[in-house]
Amino acid sequence: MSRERILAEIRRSLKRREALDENVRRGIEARNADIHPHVQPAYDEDLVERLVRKHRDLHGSVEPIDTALHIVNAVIAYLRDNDLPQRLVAADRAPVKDLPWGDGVTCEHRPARGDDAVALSVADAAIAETGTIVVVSSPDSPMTHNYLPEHHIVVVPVSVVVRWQEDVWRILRKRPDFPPRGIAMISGPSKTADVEQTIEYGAHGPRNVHLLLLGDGQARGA
Amino acid sequence: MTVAQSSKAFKVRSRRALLDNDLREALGRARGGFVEQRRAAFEALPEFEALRDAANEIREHTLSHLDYYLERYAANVEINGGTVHWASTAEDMNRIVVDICRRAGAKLVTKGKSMVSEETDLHHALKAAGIERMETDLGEYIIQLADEPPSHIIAPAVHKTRAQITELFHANHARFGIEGRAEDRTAIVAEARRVLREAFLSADVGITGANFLIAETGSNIIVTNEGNGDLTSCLPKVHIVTAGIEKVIPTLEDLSVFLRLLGRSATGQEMSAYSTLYSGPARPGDSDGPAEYHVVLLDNGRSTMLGNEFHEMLRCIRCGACLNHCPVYSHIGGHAYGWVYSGPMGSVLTPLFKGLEESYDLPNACTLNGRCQEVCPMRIPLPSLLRRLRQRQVEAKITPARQRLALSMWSRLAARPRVYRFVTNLSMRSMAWLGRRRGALRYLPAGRGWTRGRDMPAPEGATFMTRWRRRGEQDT
Repeated sequence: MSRERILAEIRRSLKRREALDENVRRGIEARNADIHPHVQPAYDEDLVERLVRKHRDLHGSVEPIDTALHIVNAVIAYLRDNDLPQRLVAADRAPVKDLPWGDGVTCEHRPARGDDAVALSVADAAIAETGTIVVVSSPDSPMTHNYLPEHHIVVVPVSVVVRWQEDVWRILRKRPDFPPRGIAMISGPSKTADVEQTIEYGAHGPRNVHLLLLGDGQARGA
Repeated sequence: MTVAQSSKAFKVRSRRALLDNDLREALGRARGGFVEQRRAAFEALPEFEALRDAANEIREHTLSHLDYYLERYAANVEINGGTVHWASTAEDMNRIVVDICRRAGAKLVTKGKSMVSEETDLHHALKAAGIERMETDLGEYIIQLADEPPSHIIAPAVHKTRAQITELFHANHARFGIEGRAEDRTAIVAEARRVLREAFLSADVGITGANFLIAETGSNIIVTNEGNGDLTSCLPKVHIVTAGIEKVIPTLEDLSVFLRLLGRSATGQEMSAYSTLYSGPARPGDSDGPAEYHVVLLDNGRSTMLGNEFHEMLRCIRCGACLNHCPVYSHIGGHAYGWVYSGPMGSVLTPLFKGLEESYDLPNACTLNGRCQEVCPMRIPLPSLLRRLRQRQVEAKITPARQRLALSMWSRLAARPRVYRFVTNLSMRSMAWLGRRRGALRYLPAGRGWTRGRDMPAPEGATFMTRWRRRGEQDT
């Protein structure tokens, strides 16, 4: 068996005849049970401000909205401004589930197909450190939404904004489905520099990632 | 594809590369960009050295318990519903992948960029099995059309100019009903998007590499800017991950250290556009995702390397920084090296994978300037490893006899300080006298190779040892 041969050769190279002895094994298990971040870049910027700044630096766009009721209008305006058909695929979870789309817009809750232009997702976390959006796969949140459509609109409740990447691991470990099948860390739109080392957006995935930064429910105005 | 190893032709290829104007244009553009972007990224990160320390500590810890971590990783993949295959050799890996494809009845396979699949020449194995392969990273796709190996580990088509890409697309895309020429960058990228989208949607199997394997969760992570690795992972019924056994790391917290180093070292990015963790096939209730998830773990000599004087090379995270900063690589490009890995890391890996004799020139085509080691996020002592390879070549008597004779005379001389001082003094004086008019020498006895392209500056009449002694006298 290749497995046994490879493991035996590794042990020979490490000058060990057998698998690890009990003490060493316990030491390794203790290392990995004592979960703590190693080195994290320090910063004292406001988390939400930094997320917005970093995401825009990555060539993404951001639009703050006060409550979930504003999602529909924001999406419709986005479709109109970008000359897009009035149809989209969306995650089947709060706060984008059961939205009152009205007659003009078709919103379907299914995986993305090749001809879908727009997907609407909900972020499970957003990392202020790097401007990265985290979307976790589940039956209500198909992975294809992140990569197939040309426009990815992501609702980011300010409550899910975290300081560092390691905060995401801490949050995900509490989920019953940990580790989820897919953890998508998205930092701006799809891009390539394979032609003349110059960046072009929309290589295979979205040309734009548009964040709807959802406030804490304290409605101001309408 | 010409991945058969041909490092023996290194000198010929280098000479040809230096005369290739298209190549010089392409390399010149890449060189400045990568180096400058990396520098800016790390200047903005005071924690750089601490991250390097942490990353090395993690890698050394994992490698010293590699059997434990591989078994733990494999157990967690199985818990997630995936299957782990172990491949001792390149042929083993190719056979395993082809078997999985056959069982899935695969006609078309999409592929994300994977250096391991280049290493095993998986492309030939798939072709021999009658399975069509589409590379989906734009750079890899371009070199697939050109039937060439990658010339850079993260920018495989870095040697191609825009005009060359336009012609390659024009020559190959008629079968997709595309007639005109895509001239500018936007049009080229749009055309590739259109052609590859069809492949993504109709492929039966998706094959990707892995930047890391996480033992804690049984996940693989793929880091890309295009999102091609993700479409390859998500859309087909079967997802196959190919990875070297050294890719495993313990936990997600460990992963974060590496992610902070990888993008910055490669392209100066804090994070590439897509870093995605995959843990097994679609779950009950999932509406998309593959029905099968396979991982093929490749040894191919790595377990032996773990126990010898080249084990530091296993820390490599394939960021390409050593290539971008190498004065030799940046003049001749990747193809001169004759195999899939190039630049400093390739000059270490190719002789270890393919044999010292086959790749004799690679460890010797290095000025030992040390920039590669300075920029390596994993602090791999590349110049020392190259010196060790040279030493092995001498021991194995692969080094030409004249050179070995010169080396042994030198070492005898250097071991006798008084004789050494006498001989060097004498030669300094005579060289200074010979070059007294021009301040330089046009010929050196036994040094024709050196003076063919340039003059030897004449010494100013005293050796370092002599001047040092004089300085000591002045100080007292």
